[in-house]
Amino acid sequence: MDKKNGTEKPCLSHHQYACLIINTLVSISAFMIPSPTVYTSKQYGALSVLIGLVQVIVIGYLVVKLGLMYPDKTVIEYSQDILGKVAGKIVGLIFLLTFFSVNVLALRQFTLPFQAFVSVDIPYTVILIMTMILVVYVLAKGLKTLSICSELIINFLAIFFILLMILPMRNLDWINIKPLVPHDWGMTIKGSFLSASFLAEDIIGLMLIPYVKDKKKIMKSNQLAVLISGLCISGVTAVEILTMGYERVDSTIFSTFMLLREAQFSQTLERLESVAIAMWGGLVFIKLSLYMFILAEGFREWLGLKDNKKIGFILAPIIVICSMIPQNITQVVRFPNHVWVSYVYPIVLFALPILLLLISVIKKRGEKN
Amino acid sequence: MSLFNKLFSNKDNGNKQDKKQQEQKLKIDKSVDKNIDNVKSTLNGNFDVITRKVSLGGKTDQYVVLAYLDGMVDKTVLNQSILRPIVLKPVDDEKFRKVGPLQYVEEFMITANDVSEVDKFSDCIDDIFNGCTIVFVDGCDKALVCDTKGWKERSIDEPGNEAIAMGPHMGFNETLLTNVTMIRRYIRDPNLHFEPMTIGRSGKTDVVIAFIDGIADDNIVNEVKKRIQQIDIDAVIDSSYIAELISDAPLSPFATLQSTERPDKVVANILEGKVAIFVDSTPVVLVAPFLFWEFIQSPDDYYENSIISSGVRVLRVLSLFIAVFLPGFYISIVSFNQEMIPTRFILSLMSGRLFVPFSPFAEVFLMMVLIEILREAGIHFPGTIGQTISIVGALAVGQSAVSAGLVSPFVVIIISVTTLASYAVPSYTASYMMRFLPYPVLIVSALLGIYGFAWCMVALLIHIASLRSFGIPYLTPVAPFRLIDNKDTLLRMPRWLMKYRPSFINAENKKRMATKKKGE
Repeated sequence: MDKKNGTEKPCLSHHQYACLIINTLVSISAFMIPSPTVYTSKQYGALSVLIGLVQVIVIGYLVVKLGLMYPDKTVIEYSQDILGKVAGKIVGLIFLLTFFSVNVLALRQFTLPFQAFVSVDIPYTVILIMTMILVVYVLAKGLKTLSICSELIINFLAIFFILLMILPMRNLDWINIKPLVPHDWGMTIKGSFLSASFLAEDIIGLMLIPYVKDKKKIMKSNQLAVLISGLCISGVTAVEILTMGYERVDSTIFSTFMLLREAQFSQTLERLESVAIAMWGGLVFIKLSLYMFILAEGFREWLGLKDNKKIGFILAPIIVICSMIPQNITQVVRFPNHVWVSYVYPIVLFALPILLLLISVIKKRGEKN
Repeated sequence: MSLFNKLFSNKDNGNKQDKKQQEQKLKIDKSVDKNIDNVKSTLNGNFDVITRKVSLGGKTDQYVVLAYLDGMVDKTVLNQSILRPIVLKPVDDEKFRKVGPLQYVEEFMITANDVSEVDKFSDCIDDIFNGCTIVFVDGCDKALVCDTKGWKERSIDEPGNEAIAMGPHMGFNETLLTNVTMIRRYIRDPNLHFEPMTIGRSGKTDVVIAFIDGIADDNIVNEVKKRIQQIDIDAVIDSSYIAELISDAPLSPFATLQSTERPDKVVANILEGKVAIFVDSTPVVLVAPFLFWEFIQSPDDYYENSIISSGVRVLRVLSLFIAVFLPGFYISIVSFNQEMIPTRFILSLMSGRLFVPFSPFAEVFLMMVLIEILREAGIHFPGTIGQTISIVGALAVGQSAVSAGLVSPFVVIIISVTTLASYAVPSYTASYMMRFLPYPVLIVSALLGIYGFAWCMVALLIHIASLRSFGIPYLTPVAPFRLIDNKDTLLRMPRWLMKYRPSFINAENKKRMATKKKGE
């Protein structure tokens, strides 16, 4: 941002902020959530996502409330104001490490469909490095450029979702989703935590709020963005269950790609998963770049440095190397899902913002009295 | 002088230009003979400098000298309105004594329409260069400047690169005044400003900035002026010199300044609040700011049915994509990702390639270079035959290349479609971008397959998103998104819906049409 150093002024409109949030929430989730959610909650997957969405709307409300208490600072800066220097630094570091792990995993997950659906002989390390080059390029160009890219890609996302809803129409089978009311609410709610944990990435708002010009509209934009993302993912999950049945969805990691592979348009357009791969490329790239920006800016504030671009240049190779660590697809997809739902979601994405909000509210009241 | 001084002394001291400037600080002498000498020595006695000494109204003690450049003046005006009255009209002595010789010549003798007094010799020299005639009068330390500009100029034709079916068919020519007049004829608004500037140490080219006060954004106008004033160059031969020097991203393949030869296009842009830059001796006028979506807009869109125009614009976007990405996409599919296309299609495609000795990349690259050569030859071929040659050449070479088994018929189709598509985009500035960009896309796609293709798309997207034209993001109004401005971007809405000017140009007067409520 740096408002103090003047390197970059608040530059996002609330519309661009919403686009960035939708982009981040939908990108990987639209392709990766349906399968593990359906694995837990069977044919009620779509309902689980909706329940998850309700949780995230609450989190989103807390996040924006907290962010707006310190509208010119990021969570890395004001956590030190709230909790004191040392505890604040630790909380800041926890957030940064969470963002870092998301970036590393997202980068690795980014390569998966290229390997699974496109028989390219190039090794995934080349994809990692080439993608990182673009991410660093966009970091060097600044947040404004990134937000413009995101705004443009959102248009394609809208077209893509319409396609996703229309193309499989031929294969819909309503029997797959019956009975509509779950007999086991336990597993439906259990499944909701997974989608909520993905959607709760909305917490990046804590890092982006200082960049938004019109602070009054943030709450509306944020909640609308979360709602749209949740409904999109719920819709995709529903269509997948309807066409493929829950048994096939839960056994296919990239069920959304499969959905399009089987879809057909007037017998000439087949294998439409290439469209999905193009969409995946664009969306995940924006997510990676946004996280890269957040990380570079976060570390800059955490370390008290001036230039976030140099930090980006140092972080980029580290992220690439870390993303080479997972050995196989289980380590890339299943294991992180488990850790995410059990630890990161309840602690970092849920408890920490509430804690910060509570303490800052109490502190402010104390100051008033 | 020591060796050190010889090596490092400021060589500008000996510069002839500076000497000339010193000479130009001379005052106008009361003796006309001295003035003749001064003019001749300042202009190095060049053959086209004419000085004519004549008697003032038949007086034997009072002379007048006319100085001008041959070829730059209209001799009819010079003879009829200046020379003739000065020599032949008898002097009224009473008036002559009352008003003085200079005033007398100006008010009672010369019949030319635009006459003014100057008192600096350097101004006289500048005016001579501009095609004026200077009248020195004996006994006066001032001179008269008569506007006698007149030289051969090209007639007003339809610009070859921007021809359209409907609408006005006139184009700019090389004379600044003619070009400015064309704009005046469209906009009869007292707020229309033409601000003159001079650029170039030797060339001293006239540049005019045109905008409408209250409709144009003051910040953009000032920025344009500031950037033009900063130019320090010997001469400006074409407006592209200025475009390169003031553009936001001169190295980018995407132009950030519009260049056009069509007055109607310039007028429409000025009415939207943009700033036009006219340069003397150039038929190409620059308009700032220029945004990405203007590549797909053509003047005929506004002269024809809005629904059809909108459809054509969508077609142009498609052409733009095809022109840049089709060869790269073909390569990535054929070399790496054959499984991505339907089986029947790939079979017919591959059967055409059976006897081709080259790799798909070499094949496509060869054809692309061949087309480039044809295109370049077509431009430089004399006369109208150039176009014929390039079409016949393309067909003959394509056909023979296929029958000789050098390239597959499919590649010929791909390259022809790519080339055709690049001409479907109306902007001439875009054609250079579309000639260059397919090559990097082709190479990266040939290296990394469909991933490389996607990589190129994203890299291009970032590049375009990072561009600005005079402070306005290049992809405006699509991103940053403004619904109200999108009435004239990808679609051309009916005129009555476009009541306001683009909101990204920050100006007081935004209303284009009256907004009437229902029932009014």
